[in-house]
Amino acid sequence: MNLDQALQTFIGESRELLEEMEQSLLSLGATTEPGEDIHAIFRAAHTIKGSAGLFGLDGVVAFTHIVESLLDQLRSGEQAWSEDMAGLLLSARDHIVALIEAVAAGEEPSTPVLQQGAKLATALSACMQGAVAEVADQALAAQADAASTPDAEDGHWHISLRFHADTLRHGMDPLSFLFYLRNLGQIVHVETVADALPLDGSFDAESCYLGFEIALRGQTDHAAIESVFEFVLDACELRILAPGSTAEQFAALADALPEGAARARQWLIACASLPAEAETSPTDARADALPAGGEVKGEVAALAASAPSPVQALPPKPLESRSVRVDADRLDQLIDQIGELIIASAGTSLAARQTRNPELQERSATLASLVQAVRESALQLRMVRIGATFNRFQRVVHDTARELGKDIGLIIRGEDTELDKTVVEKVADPITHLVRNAMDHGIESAEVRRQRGKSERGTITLEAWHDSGAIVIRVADDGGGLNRDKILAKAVDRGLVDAHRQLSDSEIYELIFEPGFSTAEQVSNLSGRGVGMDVVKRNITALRGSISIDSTPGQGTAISIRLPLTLAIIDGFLVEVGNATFVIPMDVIDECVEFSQVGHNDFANLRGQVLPLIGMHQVFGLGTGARSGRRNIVVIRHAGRSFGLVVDALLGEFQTVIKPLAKLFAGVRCVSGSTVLGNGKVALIVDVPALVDQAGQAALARASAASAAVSAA
Amino acid sequence: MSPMPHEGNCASFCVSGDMSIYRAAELKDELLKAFDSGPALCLDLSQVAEFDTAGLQLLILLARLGAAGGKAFHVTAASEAVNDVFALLGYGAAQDGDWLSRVAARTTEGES
Repeated sequence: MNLDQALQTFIGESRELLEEMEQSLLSLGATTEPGEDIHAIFRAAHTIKGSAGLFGLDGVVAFTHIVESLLDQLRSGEQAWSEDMAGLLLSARDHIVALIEAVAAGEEPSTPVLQQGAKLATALSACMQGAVAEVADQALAAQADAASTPDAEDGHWHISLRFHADTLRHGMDPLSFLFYLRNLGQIVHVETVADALPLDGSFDAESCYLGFEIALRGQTDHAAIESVFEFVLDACELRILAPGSTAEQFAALADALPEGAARARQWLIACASLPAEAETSPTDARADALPAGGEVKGEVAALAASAPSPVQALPPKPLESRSVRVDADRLDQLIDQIGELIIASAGTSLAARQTRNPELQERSATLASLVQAVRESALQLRMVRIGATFNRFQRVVHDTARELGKDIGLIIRGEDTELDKTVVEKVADPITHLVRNAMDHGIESAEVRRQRGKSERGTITLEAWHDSGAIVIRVADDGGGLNRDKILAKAVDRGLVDAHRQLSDSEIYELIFEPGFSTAEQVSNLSGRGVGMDVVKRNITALRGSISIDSTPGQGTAISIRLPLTLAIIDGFLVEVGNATFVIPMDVIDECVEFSQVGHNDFANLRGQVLPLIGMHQVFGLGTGARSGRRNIVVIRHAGRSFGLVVDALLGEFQTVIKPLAKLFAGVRCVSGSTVLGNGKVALIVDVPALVDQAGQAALARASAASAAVSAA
Repeated sequence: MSPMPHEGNCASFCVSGDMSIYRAAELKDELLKAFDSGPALCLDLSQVAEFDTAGLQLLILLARLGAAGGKAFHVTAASEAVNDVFALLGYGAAQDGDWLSRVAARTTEGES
């Protein structure tokens, strides 16, 4: 691993740590007892300082050190926790972010950043008790390191290592890390795990087959042990159990090891690695010295005797350490290649069908299903939980509420919902806008809320869930709701709608997405300048998504964003219109019915319901031609409404790689992309939201008029 | 390294230079050849300069093959580099042969 890569890793990890730090600081908020979180914050600062030192980033080290010192006093109880302290530490965290970003950009921090840093350093130092602050930085460093933190007692650590086969070939020698580990403490016992070493001809002298179970006794902490293996973290599975770990944690470790729980227990017994006293609280356990040998043996026997640990004993933690960092570009490349693979596979199926060779057809069908499976897995790789993005809004809400002088809390639901990484990145800005908007315009001031009999504390709810091939993200507030009349008046004023037109509530609410529309009486710093909602809508539409509003006067407003799970590949349905081929996204299709031409072209009778029809020929200006065959209707559902698309022929399901349209066609509406068919022809992908937008209203009006005429007749 | 004349039934083999990843593949072939040439193998590791994980794996392989095939395998002498690793892993002195049973015992356990 060269230094540059290592630096990138450092930057990536620091960003994550800083994000966690922010979360912890925010969740601590106004509590008086910081508890476990403060340790996590301290360790984050400590790790960043340590790693920055390795790269000679003195600026980062110096500043982080001051933060670390203050955190150390906080966790040892020398300093009392307060909300102001949280605010100061948040600013300090932001400054570290600025420093790290400067490193990432390969620049020196700018002068304002440095000035800010100096100010913060003074404030932090002022916070610290005693006269130690600036002068005794060095002394403090030593003190901080040697401070009797719960983790730093002379404890019995258990380290479990499994090296990947390529470790040696990458120039890393596992034994050298073990030698280095002795700097942290005394290695009490090592079990060499060589179960994976083959005895037959498959033994490759350059592959690594070894793992180690290590018992280490010393004054150290989790981060320090992890840092020993820092350069080999990608090439091994590292599991560390702290002194005082419970029997459940050991059982979980034993279960997680590839050699099986029974073998693992033998090693744990040999290493004498055991929880101090499983029943007592972790703090008590740490305060006690390591139990005597006899006790240890007894506990292990009990552990060994117990049946393989039940599932609920597995903590979720080990999963994280088993993940691998992959460059996003490589993933994109993989997705691209799989896209090509799908096109090639479609071509193969077509060719196979033409040869009428049953065996070839069968093989190509197998191939196609495998390709589909690969596609699913590849897309899974890009899926990330939306939780990380949502959690960022804790800060947005915290800061914005302060600016506005309102008391507003954030509730997050569905943070486990997964969606494509690219979508996550692009959706953060629109959500930010919606959240700020809701806080500024949605939530009323405290007095108004009191008058309306609501709790003074406003609530923003951010939630996400999956719904038929799409993800729905909902930003809701419990504020005053949209003012229907005010919006309508404004729209009429601006000439957006005709004053005499009858509009439904939802149609009126939709008006706030029109460019240049804002009903805020006062233009605030945050929103209300009339730019925004239209931009939000445009961004969402660009992601092939749609947006809708639901509002109840006096109760609040909810804005739902509906997005496709992925941008790269869709399941489509192939239809023919005139002599062109179109792809309709599968997830909007309800069913297909035959088009029976009995007098009217504007609606169909679908099991007694009026189904408005959109003629694809008219929308795309394609001649109906002299086709004699019967036409078909594809029933689609969008935004709670059904429409029928009139097409010439149904060609079947088709997995489609979306290729964006060239810039030349940027102005083309109702088409979101193109794709190449197996036979080499180009098919256009129908942009359903845009199509419904453009032709839906007219179709509805015609359908109701025509059906009224029919029933009157 | 060079195969030494047979002493009784024991084929002797002396590894000189590095016993590391850089020579592991080549050493593996030579060691296995020596191992197959007789009912027992005496390994002299006193001339080993560098000893890493790849070298350790070779010793574990031989110990296990010996245990599995009923062949005797001894380390007659070991250099400082080898002894350091043995001390780190708690194997005791290489010549004692205690480590052989520890390393080889796993096979039977693992297969049981």
